[in-house]
Amino acid sequence: MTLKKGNAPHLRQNERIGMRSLDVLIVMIPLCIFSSVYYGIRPVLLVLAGMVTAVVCEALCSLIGRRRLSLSDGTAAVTGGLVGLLMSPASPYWMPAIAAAFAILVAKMPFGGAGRNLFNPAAAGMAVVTLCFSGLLFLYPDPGLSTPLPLNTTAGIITEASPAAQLASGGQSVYMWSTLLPGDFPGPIGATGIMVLAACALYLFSRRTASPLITLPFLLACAASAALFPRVPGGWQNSVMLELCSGYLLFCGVFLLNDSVTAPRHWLGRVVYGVLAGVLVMALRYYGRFEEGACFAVLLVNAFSPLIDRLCWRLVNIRRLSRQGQKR
Amino acid sequence: MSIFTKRGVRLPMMKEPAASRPIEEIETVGQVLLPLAVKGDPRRSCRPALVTYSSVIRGQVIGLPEEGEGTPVISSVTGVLAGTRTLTHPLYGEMVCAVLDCMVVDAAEPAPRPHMGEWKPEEILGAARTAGIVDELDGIPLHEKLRAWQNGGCNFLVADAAEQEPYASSAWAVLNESIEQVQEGVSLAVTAAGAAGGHIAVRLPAARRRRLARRLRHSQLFQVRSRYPARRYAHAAEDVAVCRIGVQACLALYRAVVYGEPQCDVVITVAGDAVATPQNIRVPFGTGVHQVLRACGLSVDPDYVVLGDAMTGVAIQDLEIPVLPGITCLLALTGRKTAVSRPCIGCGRCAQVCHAGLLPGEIAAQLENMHYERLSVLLPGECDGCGACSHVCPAGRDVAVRVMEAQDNAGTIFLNWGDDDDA
Repeated sequence: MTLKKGNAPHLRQNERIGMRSLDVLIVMIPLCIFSSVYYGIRPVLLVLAGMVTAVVCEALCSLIGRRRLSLSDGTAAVTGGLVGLLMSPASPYWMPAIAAAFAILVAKMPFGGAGRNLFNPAAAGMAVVTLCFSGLLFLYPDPGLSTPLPLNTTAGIITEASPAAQLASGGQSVYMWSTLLPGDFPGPIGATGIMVLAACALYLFSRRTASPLITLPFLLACAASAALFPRVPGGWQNSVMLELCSGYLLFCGVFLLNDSVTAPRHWLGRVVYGVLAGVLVMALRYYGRFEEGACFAVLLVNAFSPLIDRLCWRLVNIRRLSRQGQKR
Repeated sequence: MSIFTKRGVRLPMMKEPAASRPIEEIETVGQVLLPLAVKGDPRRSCRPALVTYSSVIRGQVIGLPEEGEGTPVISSVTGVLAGTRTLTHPLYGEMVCAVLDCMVVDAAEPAPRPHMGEWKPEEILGAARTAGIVDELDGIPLHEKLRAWQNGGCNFLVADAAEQEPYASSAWAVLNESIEQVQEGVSLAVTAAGAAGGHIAVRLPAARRRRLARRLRHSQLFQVRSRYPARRYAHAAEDVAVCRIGVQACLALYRAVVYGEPQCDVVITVAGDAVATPQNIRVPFGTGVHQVLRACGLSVDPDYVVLGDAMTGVAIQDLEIPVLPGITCLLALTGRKTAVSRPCIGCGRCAQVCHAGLLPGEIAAQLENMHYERLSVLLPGECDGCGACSHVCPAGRDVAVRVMEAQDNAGTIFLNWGDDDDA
């Protein structure tokens, strides 16, 4: 009888990284279904294009770097799916592919793969397509046509100004609660279903894959900025409603900011991170060149994440640290 | 501030069927190994009081402390002193042990010592010392703990029968058998430590708790919350300078004071999926692990034998190791979930569950990057090794082990190649 060595604890919880990714992949399904109700099967194909590209790129990097194939943790599929969900339903198929490829090949794998990336890969991918193809990216089709989008061409798709574009141009918005809540407005594939997104958020919170300590302060900060500095006439309620529902702000709060690799670990750090991200997102909307710059805000705040984490931890533990300093 | 985070983890409870069985006595013990001296621990260095091949009776002193304050080594069995042996114990390190060949004798029930009036603290401490009582929670001699608390520092004394870890149920079994005596032991310890009061902390289903409480004169049971590790062992009003001692130490203290009986054995839980009959078994100190396992029977060959419980136990390879005070559980497992260890994804679960409010993942990261000078500001010294962080880690990393390593390395200045303003 030979006995094995092993470190305590000898009992581990069943939670695995793959399950966290699976949670995110699961909540992508209702978002895709929601979008395909308005636009037909095209949005689903776009999401799949992003996902497949990301997985292929990750496999390729693992092969080139002679690393163990790391697809089973599912982070590549999540990145690809998120990028796909942020595309316009009318965008060409190569666009999510480019974003996903950049996310994996530049923002993730060179840093050492899952768990070691400094910046959220999906946000980095989106930043690239926002910079390079802003003309195409923000062309959102009109959901009110109730005819499925053509699958093989982007020509002839009737586009409409999204709420974010209307906000950016300073025009009067035509959107009300009654159109925003059911998601009956032009926008990215995964970001228009406000109610679906809220349900996804609740699911992710309950599974502890996402943290309400990030999302809620983020949304509060966004709402506060929107209420204090409204861009549309019609009182602060109107401004808050439009700012929160337009673009992919809500999606960013639920998915991009809750990427656990780039978010702080400490509860206070998470709150500060959320608030900072909210302020940055709104600042980029006010002063940025694009109608939606949330991905840049995510990248910026990612850079500060370790610092926020460390400072907040010290702030909370200031008494313990000073006690330890006296002991020395 | 803890309202923002629910700390601790909910562990699966696997105490049945051992918890509902009565305590068994071990039948035959071949040899016992009793430590005479532990390397690097002056409290535990003794010189032999007997020559080799002299016969020993249960309770006889076989090792005298080198200094005045140490605890004498007391024979836990009747038999013959066969010599000494040096072995390495996973908890106490290298130690010299007396080897005793056992003989089977019927022990007579001791009679109470005549005593009038209240027991004085010094009498209780003396009895604890001569009886060689060691607290099973941490393996520290009881009289040392009580003496340290005497000079203030202990307002409330708790006999810890919470049994928070998944398998152990020995404290419950002891309470079931003799809660009245444990309660007496608690009041003696309260007197000795100069505490304001004391009670027994349990974590039992309500029906069993009520059944136990009915046997007590006044209710002295406190229910511990169900998250591991427990943070509160007393009501908020009493929750200042709470000190914990083991239930078995309380029982031994009572027996030592009233009957003059030395502490010779310990009740341990033998459990795990490789054990044929999981049960609580009373074994003399120094019994080899293989003898205990043989007494309970193995259904299959185990892959892991764990000294201690699943969360904090040590996997051992040498089954000759004796059962010493400080151990209340022995596991034989056929396998365990071993995750492929992946890089940290920073999910923050470790920080969420850490009851000391540390950032275990961050400590591990700094240790692995050899930023030793950054460790001290992360306070790894406040970790008590409960293992909750490793338990929850979705990447399957040994976070708790890294934090314990960091405790050793904190403050060391390692060659630091970058310019660092953070030290």
